[in-house]
Amino acid sequence: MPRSSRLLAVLALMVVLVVFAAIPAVSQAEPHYYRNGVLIPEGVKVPILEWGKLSWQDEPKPFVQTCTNVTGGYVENPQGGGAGIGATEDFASYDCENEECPAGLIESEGKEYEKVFEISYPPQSLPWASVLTEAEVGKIRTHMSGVALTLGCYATSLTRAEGERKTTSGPGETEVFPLAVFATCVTTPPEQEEHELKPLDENGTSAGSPSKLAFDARSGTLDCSYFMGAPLRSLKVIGYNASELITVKSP
Amino acid sequence: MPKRLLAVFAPVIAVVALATVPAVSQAEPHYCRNGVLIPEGVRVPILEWGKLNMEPESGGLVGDEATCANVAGGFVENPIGDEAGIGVTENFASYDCEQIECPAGMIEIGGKEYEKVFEIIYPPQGLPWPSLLIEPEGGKVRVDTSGVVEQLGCYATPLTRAEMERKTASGPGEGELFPLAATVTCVTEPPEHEQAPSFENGTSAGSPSKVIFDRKAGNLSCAGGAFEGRVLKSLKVIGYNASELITVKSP
Repeated sequence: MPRSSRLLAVLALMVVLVVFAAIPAVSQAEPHYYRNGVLIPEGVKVPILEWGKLSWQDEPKPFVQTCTNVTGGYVENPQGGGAGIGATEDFASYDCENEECPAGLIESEGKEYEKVFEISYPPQSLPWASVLTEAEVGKIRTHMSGVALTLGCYATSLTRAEGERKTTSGPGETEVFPLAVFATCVTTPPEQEEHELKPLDENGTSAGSPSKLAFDARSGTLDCSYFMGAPLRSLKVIGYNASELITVKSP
Repeated sequence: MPKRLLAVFAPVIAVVALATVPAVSQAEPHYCRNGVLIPEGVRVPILEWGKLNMEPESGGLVGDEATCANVAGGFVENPIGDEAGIGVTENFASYDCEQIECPAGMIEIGGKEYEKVFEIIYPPQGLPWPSLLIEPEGGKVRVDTSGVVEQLGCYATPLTRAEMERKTASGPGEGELFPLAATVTCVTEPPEHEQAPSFENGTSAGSPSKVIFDRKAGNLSCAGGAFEGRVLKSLKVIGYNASELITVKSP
């Protein structure tokens, strides 16, 4: 190679390196959050709303429970670079169905109560943190940690304080009385990589056709002590303040 | 003669025509989905969200106003027969609250540090909350909601009530945060203490309808009637299944 060509090649390489170094950290390598198609600036927390019906498959048990869910939190591209992060600040489930806890009345100490299957989220476990990952190219996932939920069959309108402590106030005054607690399910610490929750991010196109968090076969399972809980189906996602389209993209 | 005959028959035809109009389109306000009247007896799941302020009207024990982000789920329906639209709030969750007397920060209890957090809790035994469309003044439809119960307080997270008050990690209070001061419970108590926000029709999923807590929406009775609590600002409303536009129509 002539000397001038070698010099050119070295210079070209240097230019490429300088250009890469000059690109903001946020646009490199890792997946990030976008609002209405525009990269969310670093350090800006964008409140989001998520909702959808989820089914929980108890493996290896054949039972499936389904609940309607609404949840709130935020997403953010962290200051200084790194993949997009987020938090689920509250999660509410209702209108649940479970064949082991069919709707009906139950009598306790001469009074009748309605049976209801519920999934509750201990407030001390919230918020749940999340980070975007892309272990498989083109498949961005929201990797959630610190998730904890309790599945049970309850007697609605009877509180735990009344049912267990025979008083209307104090501990248990805002908890419904459990007829049977099926399990408390948790994600295990990230370093164990055993029970993770990492739904797939599916980008939407508008507020009417929003993005989704799809709980597919690779979304992981929760540790429910004597079985594994695998969520199925999906949650829709929009911006909380102005129904913005929230998407993810990896450069 | 034919003209006179026509004049005599015209009112009769009009009366017959009115009598054959489906009962649902007469007299009372009703719910529509994407601009079409929801058929009688069909429950349409809805999603509501928005920041609300809660302020004491006079002598509030809670101090200054509290602001929280909220998400809620339920359904609306035009009942069978000539009745106004009804609805139900099945679950309601508040988070990311701000209240001046309970500023964010750490607190030490028993040699351990906990985070202070202001929360509004909706006791599950108080849900669901039924609602009814009313039109106390022409052209202004309101959502008259009853059975509302909410508990306001300053808590230490992640310390539970079971750990602090019962010295155990499980049992009653295991899913309740420890209150740092006495909590305040606010309720609807018709006819004096109602919650009847006005319904403002939207135009699309991106510009949805709103439930507006204005000055005429009523007050809650707090601390057993010691003071009144007023909710202000608004919640957005969309259909849960397909982000449908939910509106109200008054004949």
